[in-house]
Amino acid sequence: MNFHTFEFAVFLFVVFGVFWSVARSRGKRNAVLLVASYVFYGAYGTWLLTLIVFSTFLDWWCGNKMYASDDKRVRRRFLWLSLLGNLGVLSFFKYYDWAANSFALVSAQFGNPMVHEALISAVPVGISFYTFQTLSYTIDIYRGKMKPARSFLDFSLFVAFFPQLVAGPIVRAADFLPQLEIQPYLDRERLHRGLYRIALGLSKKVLIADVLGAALVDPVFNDPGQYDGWTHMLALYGFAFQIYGDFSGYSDIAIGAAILFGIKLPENFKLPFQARSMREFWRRWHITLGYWLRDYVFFPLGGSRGKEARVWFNLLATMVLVGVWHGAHGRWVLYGLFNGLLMCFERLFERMRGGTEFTTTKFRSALAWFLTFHAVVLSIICVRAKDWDEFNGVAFDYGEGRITSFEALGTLVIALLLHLIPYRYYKRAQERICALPTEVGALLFGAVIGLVAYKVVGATPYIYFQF
Amino acid sequence: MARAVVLPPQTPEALERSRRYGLRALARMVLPLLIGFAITDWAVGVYHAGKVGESDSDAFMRDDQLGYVSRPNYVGVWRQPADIPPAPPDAVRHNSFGLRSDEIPDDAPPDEVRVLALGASLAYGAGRNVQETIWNYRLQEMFDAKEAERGYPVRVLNGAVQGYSTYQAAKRGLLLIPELEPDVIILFTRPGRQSMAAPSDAIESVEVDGHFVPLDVVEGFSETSAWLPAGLHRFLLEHSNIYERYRTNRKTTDAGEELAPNFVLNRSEEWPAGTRERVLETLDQYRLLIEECDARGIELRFALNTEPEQQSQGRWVRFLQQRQITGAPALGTPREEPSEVLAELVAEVGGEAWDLWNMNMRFGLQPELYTNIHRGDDHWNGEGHFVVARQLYGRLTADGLLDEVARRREARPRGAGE
Repeated sequence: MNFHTFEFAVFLFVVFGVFWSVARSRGKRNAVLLVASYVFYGAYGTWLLTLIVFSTFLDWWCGNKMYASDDKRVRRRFLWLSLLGNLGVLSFFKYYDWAANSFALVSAQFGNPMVHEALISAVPVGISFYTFQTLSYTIDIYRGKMKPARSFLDFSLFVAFFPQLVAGPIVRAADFLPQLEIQPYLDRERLHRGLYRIALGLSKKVLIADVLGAALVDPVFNDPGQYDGWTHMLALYGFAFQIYGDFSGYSDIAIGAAILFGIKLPENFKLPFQARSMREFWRRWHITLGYWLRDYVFFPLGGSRGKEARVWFNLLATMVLVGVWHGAHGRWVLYGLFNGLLMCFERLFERMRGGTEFTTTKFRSALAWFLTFHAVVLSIICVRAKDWDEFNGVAFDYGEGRITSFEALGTLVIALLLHLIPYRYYKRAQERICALPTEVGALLFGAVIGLVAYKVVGATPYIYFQF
Repeated sequence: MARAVVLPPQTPEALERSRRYGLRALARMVLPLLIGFAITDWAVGVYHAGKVGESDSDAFMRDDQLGYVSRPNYVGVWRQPADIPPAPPDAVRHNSFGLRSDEIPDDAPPDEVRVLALGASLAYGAGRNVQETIWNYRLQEMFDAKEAERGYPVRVLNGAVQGYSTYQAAKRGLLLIPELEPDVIILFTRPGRQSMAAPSDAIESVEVDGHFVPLDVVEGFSETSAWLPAGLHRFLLEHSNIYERYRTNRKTTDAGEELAPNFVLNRSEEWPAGTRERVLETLDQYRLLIEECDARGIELRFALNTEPEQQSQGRWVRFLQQRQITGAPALGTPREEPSEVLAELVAEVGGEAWDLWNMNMRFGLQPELYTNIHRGDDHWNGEGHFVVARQLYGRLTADGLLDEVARRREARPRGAGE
């Protein structure tokens, strides 16, 4: 059930009505959200529910066992059980075929040809997201940073909360569970903010991302040899804004839908292409994944402390993990390495300057922005290319054709201009829209929904669903 | 300075206020939301008014029985790959029946032999803006050149529609027969999923309260309650520009469950889920067309083309290797097998087939000569269409087939009644 479908609109409308009808009872309102979440997830395939229920039971049990025990060995044992259980399922679905194929290839090199028939047709939707969520829960309990959830119902809802279940933001238990303890709250400002974020997300997805994908990115990636180098570059710019519109659009809708139920989700994007360094980019792009890896991988490895070589290793390891989190392919390793190395070079450059700020003038700021933006744009060939052939095609195989359609280039320019608007203006626009009378807000919302419905036919699913 | 977290008021009154506000807001928003939607809907109508012909999809229009059909009297220039230079008259044209052919004049000879082709993009002439280079025009030229020698006129009509499954094509044939009264029908088919296994819910229609509505509209509703979605469907079609465009654009391949996109007929017992049912539905539709043709004395031939992947061994092997998880037959399946299975299925339902394997293999030997070399576009170019026209000319004139139907037509000219 994609967010940009009529089914989801009806679903959200009904769940909203039922939720606030039973909102007096804490148990009932959370039960409504849990049932709705399972219905939502089950719409992608009922068998998927077994995976999420398995994860929920496992981490609920491990969390309680860890909290109940003072014995560090027992606690560690349950932490390992949680890690193995969750990462085992994730690895099986995400990496098994890749590993078996690689084994078959290596085996063939040694004169023992094997044929591996693909076992997994698709990675279960959202598994990478909710696995990281549940892991944060058990790790935080192990570290003594939080208590287990008050009830199994609360915990199940934390794992499965439908707005952010399939593509984030990745929520920490410590941020989410306390919100179930307090009364949900809705007023005009919150309602309008929720609808504004939903409309914004739908527009980003359907009016920017899908248009760029169909008119500019797909033609070039499907047949790179037809187009000249300039068009390849345009397609890469286009894909940068496509994936931003797609993914941040999803996050906007998730955040907006959650507000309607009195839940505040963390921001996941903050105009990432305005970043002036790669480190800043990762603080603006998929923020919740970045923070998750910082807290549960980078810091435990030693973070920025210690010798420079060690810090480089920590950075590279974390960024390779970011890459591999997306999928099992050499190009994802390359993606992580590329980003990690750029961060390392930034550190080196900073040290050479004695730790002084580089972006002290407008020219330097613009230069830093330009270089960062293009580094990001180049790196995302790895995200879009399905295999090395496509990667090489886009990188090196040029023809003479060009894409000159107004739809493609106009949307690209609009996406760029919208992205260059300072963040504070977006906040101001949001405040003004939130201050409108509800009827006027609903009228605008209806108009945007109409525009989205008009463009949505043939729209593609969200790119990040595959991760 | 860190911002203090402001907790919402935690009193029963505050919760009750929120609850009431939420429910009332929901009620208050419905009407303005619909008005906002209606404003956009109206703007879409204004924007698209008079724009027929500016977009490829305008060449088609919604149809409750077939999902969509070619728009009658359409004239438009399609976007084309850069390697196919446009040339005059540079347009795609449909006649008043929605056929990609010239208009049938009112004074057309009542005893002319009519050959009607049905199929999908290949027969429609996808990728070709130049109307006169499509196979049916070339075939028409061949017939016209020999008319005096033969002694009767022949009219070739192209009723293929881009994106159709042969389920739709056969169903369209049934609807066109009474209007066009053809003497020969050629149904272009192939062993792949689009041709054989894609009769999606969008094109299946049911009759509710005397109106045809697509099956997907009423799916999940009982017979007694189907009037509700059917009525809403008709209302929206009449009043909503957005919905009308949505239904028009909901083509076979976009609609319904996307099953095994790379399925091709084969002898294995294990076809991807749902595929067998769809193939059987297609064959049922073939049967209906065969029965109708038999009843009316129409000669029906199934023109068996191949899938492009079958046209060279290398391409076939790559296809099998790369498309296992999306429904391709098992590794090691011979490339002739899908076509053999298709021929057997057509024979099983009592159809007569023209095996075009050799022609297709010729296309595979030198694809650049016969097809538009553009990734994802395996449609015939001008030379390909010419070869197809020659092939069909040979088939139609062999064994006196055309002479035979001409004699029958002469005995029973159009407009003379039964």
